[in-house]
Amino acid sequence: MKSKARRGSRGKWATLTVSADGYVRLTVSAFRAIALTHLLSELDADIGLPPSTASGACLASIAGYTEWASQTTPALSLGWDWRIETTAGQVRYEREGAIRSNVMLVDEWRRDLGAAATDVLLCIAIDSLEWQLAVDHYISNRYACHLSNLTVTENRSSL
Amino acid sequence: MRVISGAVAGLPEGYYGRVTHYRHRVFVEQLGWRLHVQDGSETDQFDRADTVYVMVEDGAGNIAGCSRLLQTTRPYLLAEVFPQLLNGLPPPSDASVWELSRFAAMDFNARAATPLAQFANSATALLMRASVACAAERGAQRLITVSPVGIERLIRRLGLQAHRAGPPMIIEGHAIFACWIEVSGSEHA
Repeated sequence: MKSKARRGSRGKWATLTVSADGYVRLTVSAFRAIALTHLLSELDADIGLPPSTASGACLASIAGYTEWASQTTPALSLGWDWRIETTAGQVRYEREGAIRSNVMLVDEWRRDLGAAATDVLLCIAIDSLEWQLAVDHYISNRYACHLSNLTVTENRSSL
Repeated sequence: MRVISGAVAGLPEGYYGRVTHYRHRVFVEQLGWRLHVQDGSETDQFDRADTVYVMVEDGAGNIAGCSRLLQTTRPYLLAEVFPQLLNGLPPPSDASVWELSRFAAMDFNARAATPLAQFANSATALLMRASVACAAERGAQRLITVSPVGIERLIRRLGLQAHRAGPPMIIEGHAIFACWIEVSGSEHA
């Protein structure tokens, strides 16, 4: 066990530690009380950027990954893949696949829920957050020179 | 494709030079890492007599991938250079924990070799499984990697049990992180 952090909601003191196996263990409710901050997002290089003359239809092939972390010590680290889906002219980011993290969720008796159950619960938690705007902003700035020619919807001039 | 592995003294003649040249092409020329280079080869202080190398060679005799295994009971990359990636945990020093580094599977004979193209490369899966198996043969129960963040996607897609040690950090412009891989129970055979 290593570092400890005072963290939590409603004035509660919660203790976070890194276990020898590298996991940070906490309950679902404790996890949900911790704010996550966007670190970085990237496009998948293999997908390829649309050419400058591309139409909005090309957005269907854009995918990437994003990385988020807590400001706690030790930090919670979560990353996931995303894909841009277009339906009826509307563009949205969709999480794709499992969450990659250093989190092991535990029950109220501090027993591990296991990797599979943790994956499911983290996916539910992440899907309830509005992460898309941060990713969109970051990607738009990072790849502005490549994506500025895209016309996606009437109210969005760029991705 | 075939797998070649072993310490320098156990490798076929010329293969150590080939792997360091291959690493130069991947990490210096393609990925732009600022590493120690000499005469077109990339080496560092962790390339020692006890370092274990794993290589994949294609049917034409070209190196198609390589990795490096280090015991954590001796100096290794994560502990010496990037301990901050462990999220506050002391670097492991345990005979059952080995470090996997310099993992690359880039096919330079493909029409368009890009850094992330390695994930679609058939040599990649073979190299990862061979690396895990090679470490297991030497007593490893867990691997710790220091790698670009993309390697975690590969590990998970291969069905290996793995989880990150902490958040990625941007070091010299590259997002890298540390990741635990379970050798026991992983389907590496």
